[in-house]
Amino acid sequence: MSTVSVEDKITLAKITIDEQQVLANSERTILETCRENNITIPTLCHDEQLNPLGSCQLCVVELEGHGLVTSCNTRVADGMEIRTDSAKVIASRKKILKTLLAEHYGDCVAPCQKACPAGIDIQGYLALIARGAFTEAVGLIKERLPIPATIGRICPHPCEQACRRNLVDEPLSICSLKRFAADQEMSGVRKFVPTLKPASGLKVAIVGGGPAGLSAAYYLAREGHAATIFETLPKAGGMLRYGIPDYRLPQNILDKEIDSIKNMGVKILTGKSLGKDFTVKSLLAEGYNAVFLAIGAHQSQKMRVEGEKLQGVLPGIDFLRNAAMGKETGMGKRVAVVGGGNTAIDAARVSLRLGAEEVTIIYRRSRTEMPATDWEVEEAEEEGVKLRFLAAPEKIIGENGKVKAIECIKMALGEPDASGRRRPEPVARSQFILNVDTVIAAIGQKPELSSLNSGADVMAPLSPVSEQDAIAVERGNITAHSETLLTNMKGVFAGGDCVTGAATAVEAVAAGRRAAMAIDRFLKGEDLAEPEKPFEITKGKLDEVNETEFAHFERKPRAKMPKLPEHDRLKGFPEVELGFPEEVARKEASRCLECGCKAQDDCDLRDLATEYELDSMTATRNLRLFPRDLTHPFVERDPNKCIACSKCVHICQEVQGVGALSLGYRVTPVGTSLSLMDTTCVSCGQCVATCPVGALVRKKGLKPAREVKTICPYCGVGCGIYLGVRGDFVVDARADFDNPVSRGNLCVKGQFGHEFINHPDRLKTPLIKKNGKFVEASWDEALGLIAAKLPQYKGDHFAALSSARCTNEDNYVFQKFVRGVMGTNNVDHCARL
Amino acid sequence: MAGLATAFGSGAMTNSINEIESAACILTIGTNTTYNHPVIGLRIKKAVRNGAKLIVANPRRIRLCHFADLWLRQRPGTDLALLMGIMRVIVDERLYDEAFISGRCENFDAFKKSLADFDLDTVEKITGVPREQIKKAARMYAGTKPATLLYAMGITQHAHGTDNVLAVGNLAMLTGNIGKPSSGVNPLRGQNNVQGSCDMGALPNVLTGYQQVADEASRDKFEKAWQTKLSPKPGITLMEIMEGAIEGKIRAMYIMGENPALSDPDSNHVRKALDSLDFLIVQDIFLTETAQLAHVVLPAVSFAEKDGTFTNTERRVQRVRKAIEPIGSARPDWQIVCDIATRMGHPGFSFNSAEEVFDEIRKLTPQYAGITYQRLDEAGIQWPCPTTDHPGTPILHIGKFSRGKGHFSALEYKLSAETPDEQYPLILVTERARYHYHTGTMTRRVEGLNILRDQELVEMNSKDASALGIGDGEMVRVVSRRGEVTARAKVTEDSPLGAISMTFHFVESPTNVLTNPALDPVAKIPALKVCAVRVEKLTQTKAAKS
Repeated sequence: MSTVSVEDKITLAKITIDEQQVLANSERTILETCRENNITIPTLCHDEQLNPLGSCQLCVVELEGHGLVTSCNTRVADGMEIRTDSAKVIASRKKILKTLLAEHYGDCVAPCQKACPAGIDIQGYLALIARGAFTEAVGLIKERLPIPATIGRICPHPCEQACRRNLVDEPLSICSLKRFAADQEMSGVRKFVPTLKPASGLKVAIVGGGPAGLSAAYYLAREGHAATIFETLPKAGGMLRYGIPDYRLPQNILDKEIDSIKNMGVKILTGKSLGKDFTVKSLLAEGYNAVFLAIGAHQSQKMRVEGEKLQGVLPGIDFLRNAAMGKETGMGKRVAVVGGGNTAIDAARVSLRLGAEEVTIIYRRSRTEMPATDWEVEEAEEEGVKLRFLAAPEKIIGENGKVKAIECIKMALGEPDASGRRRPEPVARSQFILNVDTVIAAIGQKPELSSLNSGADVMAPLSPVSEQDAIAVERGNITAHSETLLTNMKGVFAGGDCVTGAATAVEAVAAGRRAAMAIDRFLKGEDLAEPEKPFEITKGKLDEVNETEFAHFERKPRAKMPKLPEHDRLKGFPEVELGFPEEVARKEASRCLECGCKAQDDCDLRDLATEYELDSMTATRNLRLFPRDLTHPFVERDPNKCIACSKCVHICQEVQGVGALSLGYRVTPVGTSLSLMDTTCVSCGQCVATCPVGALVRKKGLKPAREVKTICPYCGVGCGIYLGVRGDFVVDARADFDNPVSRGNLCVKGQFGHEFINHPDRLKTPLIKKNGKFVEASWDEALGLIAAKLPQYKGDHFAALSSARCTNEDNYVFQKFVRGVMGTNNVDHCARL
Repeated sequence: MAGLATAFGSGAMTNSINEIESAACILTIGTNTTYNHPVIGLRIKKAVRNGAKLIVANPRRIRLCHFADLWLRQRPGTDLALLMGIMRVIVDERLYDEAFISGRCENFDAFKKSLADFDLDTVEKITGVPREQIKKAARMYAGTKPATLLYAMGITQHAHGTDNVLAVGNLAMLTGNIGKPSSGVNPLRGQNNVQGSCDMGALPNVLTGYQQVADEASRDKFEKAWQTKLSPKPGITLMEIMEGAIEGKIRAMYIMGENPALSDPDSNHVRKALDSLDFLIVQDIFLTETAQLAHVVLPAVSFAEKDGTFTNTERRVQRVRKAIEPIGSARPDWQIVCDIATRMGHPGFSFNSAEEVFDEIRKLTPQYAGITYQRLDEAGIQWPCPTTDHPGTPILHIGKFSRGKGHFSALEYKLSAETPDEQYPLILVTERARYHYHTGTMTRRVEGLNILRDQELVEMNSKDASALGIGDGEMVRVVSRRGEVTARAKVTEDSPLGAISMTFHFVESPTNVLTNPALDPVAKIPALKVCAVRVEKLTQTKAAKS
């Protein structure tokens, strides 16, 4: 304890806090005293610049003989016995938090991000695209998904179904914008290069080079582990390469994304098959510290109809793989494709491109139940594929061992089945025959697991291993823990289609990342379980949200994807979707409604709800909603998130002396308050800085990847700021509360005036005026010209103006040049003005 | 700066920003603090909340007036008379600090004698401020200690700017408000590194740390360090440089990070000067109005792309840190200059980092000698800081003035270089808006700031407006002897009768074509704050508005 003399007129109080004896300055509050003694007390309304407000009451502590008191406005007194963590205190705080949350209406996390299996910060990358920061957008995407150019072409994008813009007009074109950013980065000069942690010296074997395996390799490499992919086929990519035709995903795009993963040090060994060239055991024996099984689901399901063995009946997956590899497929001229998923559509469209004259898809339900994505079906129809709904094959008719026709029966839809889709039932005596020479079965895939547990010894002939050494399998899929992806075998993880059965690529990528993170924890000897997810509140699913909330948004139609004309599509496998031009992409990205709370990582209410273990929740239905104030260019106000702590009102009035804010909407029956632009607001942003939740947020602020401490470039005060940076873009700024000059205060320019840094007008290259016009020049050229010209002006024919905006170092070198090289003291700067 | 150097021996802010909130009395003159130095504005407001007396002297009703105990509305250009009036009352009523004056100052009697011309009748007539208010201000300032004095370009940008500053210095010395916490004379610097540019010798008469080029010993020290010969002849100042260009004496110019074609008075004349050069190099982050006139334009990086230091208005050296890689092929200013020097065959420009440059600065600049990048990592340091264990100097002139004795100056009132007449009946005062900065090179490229303020406004009193038949929001033409601009009128009682105001942020309405390049004879500051104009209503107003 520091010495306290009588002259200081401090009276000390002897108190106990949580049974600890503390000597406290009796001028201080309980809250201040606790903080001085490193005891955390939660509060949502305390700001050191203000007198205690006592509005949130979260800072309650139990005072012996008095019960619960608010610690922010209760002074310590001799003999006090204080409990900061009693059951009563905790219960009271939980109750307060629940009460506040019952009136808190918003989405912590954007619904698109929640719908994305990979959990990509979609809102963040859309904002970056809108600003022209494409490489930075790719960087943000790659935090969750390492192959955006690929997935951006083929994803069924559940995010778009969840997009709240559906309630205004049409959803954002999220998926195609991802592709746009990735294409820009891929073809541009500025590349995103992931930062790798130092090498751990640990090795991980990944079996299967499909989306799950590639994704796991990316994130393992990022964490510093040496990842090796074992791929049975000639090239990595899995279903992305061998199941998805080139007109949807050109192989060179996939190649480039795989190359970028290889560039991180990932090894890919092709032509290596599990059970033949190695086994799980052999990998572990070779010194791999963990194994990730990502072998996919490459075996087509049988149709189980008569004639399935006839020549001309082709498993869909084999057909697509052979086509992708340029091998003979065995296809004839008249093709029937059985199934309603994307594989069926792909098989039909590939057939056309390989020269089939007539292609018919046979599907037992109707169009609405088709699992294939709408636009794939549309494109197939545009190209001439025929669709036969409500029909199922009964037998394949052969002649000389070859397919001659397929006999089908008409179906009708009955009651919904377990999947929620109406169950198709055959209509009696409705058989019909299609004359075809090829039948492609595309009714589903499953993992090929025959060699999973075989071959205990690579050199020995394949032999089954004992049960406890075997990797557990259930219903044809590998069994793995839903979160950690650990199998029943230590150090062996599995994910992707081989665990889930055939699913989407984005789910496989997500599984790869989850596995990589679990493996990383495993390798570090940490608990395998994922860290606890923070508390979340959501407005609810699309159909639970009040549409009137979105009524005032201007209608802006969704950008249309330019496509190759139909007549050009069937000549080979050119890509059909051509991608957005830059202008269209930026405009489309700016349609985003920015549903996710901009304070989601900086929200005291959310942090406390997490700390006090409240369950994530859907916001209370039928709350009285207030219009958001989006009129101000820098500050966004959402009264529906306000917890009425009133800090903003007091900061604005008492510290800024402005008085622009009120909580009018909380007390007036009409529920309105002035739009910020109609007040005396000076746009200093201090209300945003003090708001404990997302009721007042920066409109344009983007989540930075890192922050750099520096000094504001405007007036002579020299306020401390942090610039928020992502890639080569300054995306945000905030006050530096430790700067002794500004102590956390900033004005509008310091707070919001940094957009000029990345402005497209910035000079990027030297210019030389030739015939009255500026011509771009190299540095060598420009400096050479100057060095040739200046010697003739040495002495007092030369003058120079330095700058009060440049650094001391710039100014020093400049005047040294003028005096020392040019031989004159004719140097001045405009700030004398 | 020249004024304070004469009076105290140093031109910089005597005290620190954070002391303002503990002052008992604050006198602000010629500063619209809440607009131009908003964070200092907060300190003033906090002081007022703490019970401080606030006196605001400003012709315009600025935001601070709402917090003031006393608002003195002097006519533009009459600051000196007002200050002398206040001092006359202090002397007449013997409210001055006799011990301080006799112990630490000189030339008091000559100064006292010069007060004879400033009886309150005369002062009231010149300034328009009622004598009772002058008396009240004098008693308040002299009787409430510590008192701090803040000023900015409102009193320096005049043809008699140095006299105004000397008057401010006199006032502080008279009441003993120097060398003590929360007192002092505090010029507020307009741009981020005005203080640093001056400290670094970006001035025609001094090397770094205000070491005179005319002084042989100083020159000798730099010649040894730089291994070169230096001219003993002080150079010419900015406005003289422009004049020299027109006269053909200056034939080549190198401009780094400034935009005189928009920022300097009588900008048509400035453009003419730049146009008449044989060779003009402009180095900037944007193709400014000045850069457009150049023969060679060199792309520099912004503050976000470089390492270095800025020195703020309270002499605090702070670290600027590189946040992103340079845009395009842009480069830090110092590197570009070094490259040119090296190509011209000169040694001494092979710095590898900003820190190496700073280390050379330290060696040659006593005030900076104890400051290192390592020390700056924690927090900024206020110069003078002679040794690496010196904590820096928040308050100057404690116990003794930098020059020894504080020097009182005898002063007389001079009319502004240009005063209203029949042809040009109004005074134009230039100012700055809250949402923009200087010539707008940076802020005009921030979308939101342009939403908050998108155009020039000619602010004028309702009586002046109605006499001319001008309504709020109508387009007007403002004409001076040197040029004319058009802009929208804003009718407001914030403007005093007879004076209009405009900013210089908007290239669309380049206010400085109007302003007067008349210079203060000592500091060579132009009279940007006062010139004579007339305002005409644009006849096609209706068409323009619809």
